[in-house]
Amino acid sequence: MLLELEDSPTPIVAVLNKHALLSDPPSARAQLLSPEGAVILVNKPYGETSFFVVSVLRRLLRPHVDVKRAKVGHAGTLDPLATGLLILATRGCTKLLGTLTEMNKSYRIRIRLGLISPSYDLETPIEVITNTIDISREQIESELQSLLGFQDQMPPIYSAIKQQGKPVYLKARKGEAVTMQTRRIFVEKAELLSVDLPFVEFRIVCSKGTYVRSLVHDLGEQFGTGAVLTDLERDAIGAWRVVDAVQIDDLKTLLAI
Amino acid sequence: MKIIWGLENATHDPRTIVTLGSYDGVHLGHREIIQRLCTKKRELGLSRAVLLTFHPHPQQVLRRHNSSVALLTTMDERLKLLATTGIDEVIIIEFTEQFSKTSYLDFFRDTIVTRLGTKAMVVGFNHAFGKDRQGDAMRLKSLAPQLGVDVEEVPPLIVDGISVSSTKIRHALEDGKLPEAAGLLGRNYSFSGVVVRGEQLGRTIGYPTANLEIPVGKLIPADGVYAVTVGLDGVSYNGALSIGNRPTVVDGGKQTVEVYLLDFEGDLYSKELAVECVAYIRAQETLNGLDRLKAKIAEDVARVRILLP
Repeated sequence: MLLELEDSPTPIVAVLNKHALLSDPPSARAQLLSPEGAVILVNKPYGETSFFVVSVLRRLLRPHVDVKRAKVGHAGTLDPLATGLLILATRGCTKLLGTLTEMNKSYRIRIRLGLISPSYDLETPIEVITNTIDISREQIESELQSLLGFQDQMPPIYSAIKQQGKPVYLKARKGEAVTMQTRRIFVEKAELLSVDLPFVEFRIVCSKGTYVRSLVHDLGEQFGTGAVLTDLERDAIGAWRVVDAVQIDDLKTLLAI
Repeated sequence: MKIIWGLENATHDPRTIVTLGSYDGVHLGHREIIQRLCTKKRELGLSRAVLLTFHPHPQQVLRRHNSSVALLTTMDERLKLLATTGIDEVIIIEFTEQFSKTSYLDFFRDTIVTRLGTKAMVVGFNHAFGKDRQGDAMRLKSLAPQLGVDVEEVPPLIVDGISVSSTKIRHALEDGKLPEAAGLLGRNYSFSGVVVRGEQLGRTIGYPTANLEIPVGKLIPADGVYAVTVGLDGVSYNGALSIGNRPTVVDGGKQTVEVYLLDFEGDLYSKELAVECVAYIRAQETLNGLDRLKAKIAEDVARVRILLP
């Protein structure tokens, strides 16, 4: 998603992680502000939109750059209730957002069995399907493995996918009927982390365009109990990891000077 | 794993189990058949699992007059991959037009059963051999009892709703669909090439590339730019690979395969590079002048750095 237009020069890639930012603030700052720009790994806080993070950075850049509107963008939207790695790019490096978006994503996922909701997470009212959940670890393991490979996934109707120029969640919220089309995605890895029924935690590595909420919903159907997403953290995009990401406050400290 | 070049050098062993085919790519479907071959060998108490294969690839001999098929693996690569599968012996039969006229019955009875001492066979669902490809699983099975051979057909391996076949992998690579190809192959597509002298245009714009000579008959993926890893003398480098006819610098030129190694300095001439294609970055583009080309390459290199940190 690109915010503003600016005819920017070719990027010389500088990826600003926690280490680069904290060990040498002046040069991190210079890279971020330069016409070539930089790529920044940010840990998105709970409850904020991805767009909010972009707008914070844009506001922070404004007093320091000589162009009226410096380009800032992000790769791969995270839902407001999700946390974790969001990759931002400034100025020339916004050209790289396409590639950043293409990369596989890794998510730590916690779900609760026995519940369903229209959005497949806690953003919409939940309905209890069952309170008795009797599923073995082996069964969970095997259902997770069945997610591996290519599949045609049905995105949730509560999603920002656009139809007739408008995000479909607007229609869904009004209670209007929405017809979604499947998308071809693939799941590269699925790893069970812990079982504490009715909660299950696992990690997924998947292609771009994958809706984790839909994976969770499908798992709930396979178990016959329903399932909703309760916690979601993106812990990696390609080889870039959330442990190396900076906080929004780090950016404020760096640029508010 | 023993490698026998030429049927005349093969030995007789009455406890032999055989599969045959070109096994180009040694993909997941092939591995499934070989796994069954090795399991069956133990079940029947046999001692020698043999893969009978052909060189050159039958389609390259039989289609000589029109377009010949591009292969996923050279014979060398194929043998290296097969060596990791549990096969005891690979027998490479020289495939000639003369040989192609052998009937499946003669080949099955005289060579496979009598000459090699075969007691059991495992064949892929779509495999057929002999003159006009008449030797399919059904015919072999019907002949099996009178020749005292156990013939088993392995059904197709389905990955994500697609039956794994070398042809489907070739098409995916020719369309630039790397994840699909890797999903069916069970690994990234790779090739090796020797560095030959090019026009040395790259170095004038700050991106010296190594021009690779790819073995004849080896499949070259779709034109475009790729993020790759490059093996050189046991060290791995990241690189930007460009395949195409260089429309920005020449008109109607021939296809070249060139790679720019990141963070490498040195002479690469006549070295062999092993290239593994990790991601497809973009299609080939015609740019307006060398400055634009240079900027585009800088961008490609930045993408490689992001994809392969």
